[in-house]
Amino acid sequence: MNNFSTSDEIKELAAAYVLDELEPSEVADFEQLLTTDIVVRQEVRELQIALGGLSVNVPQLTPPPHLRAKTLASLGVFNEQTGEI
Amino acid sequence: MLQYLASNVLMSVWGNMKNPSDAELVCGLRSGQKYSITILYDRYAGLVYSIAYRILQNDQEAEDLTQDIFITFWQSDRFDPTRGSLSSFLGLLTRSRAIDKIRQRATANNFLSRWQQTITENSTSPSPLELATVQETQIKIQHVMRQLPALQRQILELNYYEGFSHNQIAESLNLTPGVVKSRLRQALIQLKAQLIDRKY
Repeated sequence: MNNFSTSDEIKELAAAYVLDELEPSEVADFEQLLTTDIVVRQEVRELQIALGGLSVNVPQLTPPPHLRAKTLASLGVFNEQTGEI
Repeated sequence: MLQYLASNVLMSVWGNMKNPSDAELVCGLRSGQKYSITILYDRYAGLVYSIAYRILQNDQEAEDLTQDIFITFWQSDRFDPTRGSLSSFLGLLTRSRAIDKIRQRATANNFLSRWQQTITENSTSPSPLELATVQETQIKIQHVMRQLPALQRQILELNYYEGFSHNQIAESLNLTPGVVKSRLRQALIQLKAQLIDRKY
């Protein structure tokens, strides 16, 4: 299993898993492998970190100001009517 | 005024802690300091909204998704602040939910499940990228993206930033879906190799 886990085929499967492009049956098989193989788990973790890094490179937009009050009100942190926390 | 009120309350909560880390805020949130979410919102709403808008191309849908992401984050304990950066987590969660919407998929928990699968180890220490600030990560990502072969970079950008499927990318670049699939996976493997294996 350990030799298999570092193969190019597994690296491609791990990338596909992180990119969310495996079929449901393939996901189930791959997650079974993840539970038993720490090397594959680490590979997936690092691919997630790398892909997640792309998030910070999106040109930043400013959310509309009313969205802050609306979101915090929906969480019960902020009263949208009175403006109080 | 409202920002001022919020700041006053937060100052009393954190005392002299001028600039709490994400990990401190998440821990505070989970121990009942619900005002932590206001700072996290101010830190990451721009990132979440920008990704949502980029993929959905619609103001209202981007607003709704931004709100949904913070509610999901609030309700879920899947993010471990000692194991991963919050910008990565929120960015990937937002991308996944936005793609669910445009492809009309009902897979809202898939990303959280995938994330959870890999955070069971305490033995491995966080990578430098997990510990980097948003600005540091941005510099590294821009450098590494420039190192990728042009076609891989283009395919990765269309998939990640626009939410395009294999078929949409294939059509737009006049390639076969098989080539797109292979190049996209290779692009991510290369990105990871440059970012993590080389220990930037």
